[in-house]
Amino acid sequence: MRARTIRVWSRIHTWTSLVCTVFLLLLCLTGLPLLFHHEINHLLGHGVEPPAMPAGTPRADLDRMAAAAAARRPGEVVQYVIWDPEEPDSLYFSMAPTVASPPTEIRGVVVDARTALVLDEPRDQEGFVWLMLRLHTDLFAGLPGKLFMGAMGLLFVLAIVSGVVLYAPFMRRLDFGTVRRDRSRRVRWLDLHNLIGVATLCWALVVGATGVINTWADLIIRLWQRDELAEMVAPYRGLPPLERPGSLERAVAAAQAAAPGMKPAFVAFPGTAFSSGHHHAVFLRGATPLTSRLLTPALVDAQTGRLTEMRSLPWYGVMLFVSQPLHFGDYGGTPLRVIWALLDVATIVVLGSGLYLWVARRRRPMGMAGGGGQGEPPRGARQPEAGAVEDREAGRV
Amino acid sequence: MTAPGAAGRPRRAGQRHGGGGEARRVWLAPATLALLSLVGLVSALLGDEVWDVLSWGALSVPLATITWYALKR
Repeated sequence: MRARTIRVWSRIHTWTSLVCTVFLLLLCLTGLPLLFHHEINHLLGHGVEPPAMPAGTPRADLDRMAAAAAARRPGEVVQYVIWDPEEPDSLYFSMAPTVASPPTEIRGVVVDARTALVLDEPRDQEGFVWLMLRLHTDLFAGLPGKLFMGAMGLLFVLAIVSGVVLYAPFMRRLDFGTVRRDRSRRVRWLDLHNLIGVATLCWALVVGATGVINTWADLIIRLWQRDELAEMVAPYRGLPPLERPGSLERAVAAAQAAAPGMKPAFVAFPGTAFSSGHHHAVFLRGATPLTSRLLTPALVDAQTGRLTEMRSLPWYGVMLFVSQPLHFGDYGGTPLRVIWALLDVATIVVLGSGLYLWVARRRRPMGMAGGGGQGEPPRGARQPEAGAVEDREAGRV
Repeated sequence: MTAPGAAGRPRRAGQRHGGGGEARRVWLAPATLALLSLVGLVSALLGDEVWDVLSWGALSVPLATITWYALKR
């Protein structure tokens, strides 16, 4: 590689890393507890476990459950009903003053799926896990915060790519995995930075890129509402509003009848952002780890209980839903989440050592670590930064 | 003990762009680790049980590799 090329990539690596490192450290640190949010909430005593009942206890009627949730919060309406695959014995009802109220006004009511009794009113918008989530996703700044974090994620991806480009000239004279302990601390950390960075390369790229896609979730949903949803509900435009939505139970049954083998993930009530004023929008999930993430919306007429339309997601919806498990690491049981945590810690080491190397190099200009006679490692090999490699190259060109 | 060959293999300047041999030497291990990571990332998406176990195994290799070389003396 030409010395000039290396110098350019070296600059790219330094500056993309420097700008995003603080935010990436924050993301790695807050992401760690988020991997285990279920366990942490459990430990902190948040969330009520549904009482144990014999397997095969019949399910309660969904309309009875919705009525129980509504009775708990008088004057409010159901916006969404959510099925959590990890909590098969309860349902989460999102209650709000009106169907059009913003998400910040949503309060949850958890109802037992067998007895239709209210179990809990979880306080989702406070507590440790919620704090970690906000710091991880939007820094309490809403959509602009998300997009900013997405930009930091893009810089991280660029830092990885430039790091890979620099890896080859660096390792030309070193065997894979070499950690030169007999040299200065800086050289040792440089070798560790290279080793851990290149070993976690693929995972970090995937988690970084899918994280960026997740920051676009709001935009992707808006696009879907404007494009697909608007088209699906076009025949209902201009009809007088519904007096009262019909049966939830019937709507879910109609959707499932149209898609055998699929299960409900959530239902958006008429008038909410994910439906029209005249439909229960039943979002169905498949049975495999992948298809369970790919939701298929089925619109059921809230008056007649008949299916209006069901269609699979457009490509950008598929992209969002596939990128979620790949970012969250929640699709292969606890062992996968533990591996995710360890790789996250490895990434913290790469970020920290990168920062250290930059500081150390500034403190001690590169000329001072040089020297070395015949048969010794070439100067570049014992220099901590690509700048040194580039010097060596420049000397030879 | 430091890894054998860690001191580097001095080469003549003319060998710098010496064909695919050097690229293979530099990239064989990283490319293998990246491929295993990819297999691990995808397999748990495709199914449960065996696919999960394959995923855990494949994604453990980069971690084991780091541990091995970082602790090696």
